[in-house]
Amino acid sequence: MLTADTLNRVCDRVFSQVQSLSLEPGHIHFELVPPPTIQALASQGGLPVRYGHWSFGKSRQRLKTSFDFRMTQIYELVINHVPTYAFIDQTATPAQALMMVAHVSAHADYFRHHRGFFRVASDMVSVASRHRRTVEEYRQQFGFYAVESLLDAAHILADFSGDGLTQQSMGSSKTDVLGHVAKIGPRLKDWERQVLAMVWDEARYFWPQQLTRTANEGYATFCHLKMLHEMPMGATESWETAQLHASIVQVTPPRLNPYHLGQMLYAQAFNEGGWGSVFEARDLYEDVGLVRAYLTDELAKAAGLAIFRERDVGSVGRQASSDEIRRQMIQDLDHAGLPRLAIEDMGVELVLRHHYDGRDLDFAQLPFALKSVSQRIWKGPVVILTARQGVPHRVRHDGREFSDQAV
Amino acid sequence: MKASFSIGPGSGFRAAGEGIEQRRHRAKVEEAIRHHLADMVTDDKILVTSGRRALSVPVPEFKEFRIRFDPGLSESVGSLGGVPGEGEGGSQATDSGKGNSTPGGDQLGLDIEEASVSLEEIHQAVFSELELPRLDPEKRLRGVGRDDNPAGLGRHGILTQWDRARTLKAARLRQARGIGPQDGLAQDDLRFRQWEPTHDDIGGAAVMAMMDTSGSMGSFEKYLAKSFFYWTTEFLRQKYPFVDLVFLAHDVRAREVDEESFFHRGASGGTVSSSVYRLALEVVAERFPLKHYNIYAFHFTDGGNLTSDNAQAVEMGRQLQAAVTLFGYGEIHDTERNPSPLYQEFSQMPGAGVVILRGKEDIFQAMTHFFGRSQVEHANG
Repeated sequence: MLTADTLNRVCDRVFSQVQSLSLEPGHIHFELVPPPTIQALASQGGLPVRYGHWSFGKSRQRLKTSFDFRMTQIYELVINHVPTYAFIDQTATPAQALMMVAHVSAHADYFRHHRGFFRVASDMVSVASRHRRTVEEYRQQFGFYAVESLLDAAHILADFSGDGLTQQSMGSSKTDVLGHVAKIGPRLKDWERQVLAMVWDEARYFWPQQLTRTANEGYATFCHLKMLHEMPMGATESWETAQLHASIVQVTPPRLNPYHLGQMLYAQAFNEGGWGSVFEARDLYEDVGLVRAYLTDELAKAAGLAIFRERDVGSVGRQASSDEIRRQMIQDLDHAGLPRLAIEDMGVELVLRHHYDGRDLDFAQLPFALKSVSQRIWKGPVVILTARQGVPHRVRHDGREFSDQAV
Repeated sequence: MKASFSIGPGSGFRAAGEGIEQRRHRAKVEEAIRHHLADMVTDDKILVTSGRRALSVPVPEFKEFRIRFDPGLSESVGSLGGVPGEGEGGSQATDSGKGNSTPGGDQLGLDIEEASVSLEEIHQAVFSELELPRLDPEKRLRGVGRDDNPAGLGRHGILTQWDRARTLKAARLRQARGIGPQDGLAQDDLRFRQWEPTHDDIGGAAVMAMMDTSGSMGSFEKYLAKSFFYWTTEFLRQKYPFVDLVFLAHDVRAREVDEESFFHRGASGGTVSSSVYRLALEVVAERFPLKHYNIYAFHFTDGGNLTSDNAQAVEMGRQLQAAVTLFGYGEIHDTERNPSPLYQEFSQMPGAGVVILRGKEDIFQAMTHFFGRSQVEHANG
């Protein structure tokens, strides 16, 4: 069981490394918590307090189950905030804590330096807890079903909330479907607009993190490895940290492990230009940029990258040229792996255009998603102009019926 | 200062008990369980849990529908796993990476959630829609009804129970002894019949569970038939505590067996359905007079009755149907084929319920068919 005193000593050791590498994580506030608390925090997507929604309960249940069977254990959780909040599992050993604090410091450094985070709200923890209170009031006032179904629908549009990061910019671009609808959706009640705006706020807060998942984890893994290499350590500490590191970068085919791949990409940057290149990559590159800059042919081979048709365990990968892998990977990571939608028209129908790039939308879940948006947000027909196998399609749901026509 | 840290007490972030998130998720899980009961009725997990009062049931994950790319159509980059020479300093490959998912790695890929429900909850939910059809309230449940047994004579009572003969006899005896008035009755001569209320131990409901155990009943057919009877007996025991269950197994001959061997016995021989109907008729005639009992007879078979027996089986079935409250005939087909002649005959017969089971999911349908509220039309009242 980790105590505050032990953690204090661990932090002292790590922070001297942090300074000698000239990382600038700012102030980090640590909290030692038991595993259930970390699970609860992680289940809310990385905000300690958020509006209540059943999906968070679902992921908490999952995290608990997989922890109970010791399939996964979340050792640390970092929250992008000023100051940075870091939650450390108190059941970790001091040696494991050593690695975690190093990892956390690198995350904090990343949040302070990557350009994508400059305009992200730095007080999101208090904003989100205000959201929770408001949503709770609405729940009392308008009934849990009205609030829950609205949140269900809002989560669908949250993937399409544009590029702006401040409230002033909400609804200013065509790609900000959620913001637009929250602002001028004709049949929304005031409280519903409020809820949509809150979901928008939080979606924008998370967006830069979605774009830099591999980069952020890779940077933190690369840095903790460098720090641990430099740090004077006993045999037990070396063994325990090596073991934990190995389990973090372990690859389960065919899944990509962002810790593993990201760390390799930063190592490539380091090999090419030392810490200067690493810091430049940290400041500038999202996942896509990092892959474009540093996924060399050799690295693709060393990481065992291949092209898969299905994501299931046991599926067989297809060897491909490095160019093809690079191209495919950039497409996978682009826009956080989400389709690009833009508002085409907002009349009676809400018409969205899908920027089709050869990948079809998932028509298994599309009708349900559109139905929810149509019934609960637009309160009228919702249309998506997309394509299936290259053939233009017009997909529509009016809240009762789904239709899918080739145009 | 560009790097500093502080350590909090950790107490401000203790995970409070169940929040609204979990309550709502739990509520959704429970709702799903109720909706999926028809599928769960046949779940082997439930069937084998004798004695365990709570069990985990798999509930399909609650999908949050989104607008996403079709994962099945497009290709994406994945990893083949460890390749020699990877990693820092060209170390040897890590292990192949099979097995557990990585701590802090990608998503878990669970599609099923487990929810713990008690057997009682399942029973309650399954059986809430079921009842014994056409249960004649006149044929009261055993133990509930009362009977009056003659308990002797008394000197006091109500006039309707006045026993004139005994009163006269008592008067004559008294007069012969020369006591009291010699003509007419004295107060002491009056005799009244007295009754003692007792619980009656007849009446109620009886179920004849008849199952074909011939060689042609494969393990699948037997599994379905047993599942049906398992749920039927559970249902009856829950709702009607005084139900008599009679287990009749048959191939070419029929035997009455106990519950244990009924559910576990092997199968061999041909199929002569009339034999089991005849045995059921005998049992009914001997032990369960229709006057006192609601009798439900169910026969499950694969329909492969001996051709030469068909006419007799239909005739015996007709007799049995007339002797019981409800006669149910179930045929189990794992493949598409035409119902047997027996099925066709019985489906024409008023008062008989017929059903075909093709798969596990049909068991609940069959139960609703037989026991659903006012589902089955039958005569014989």
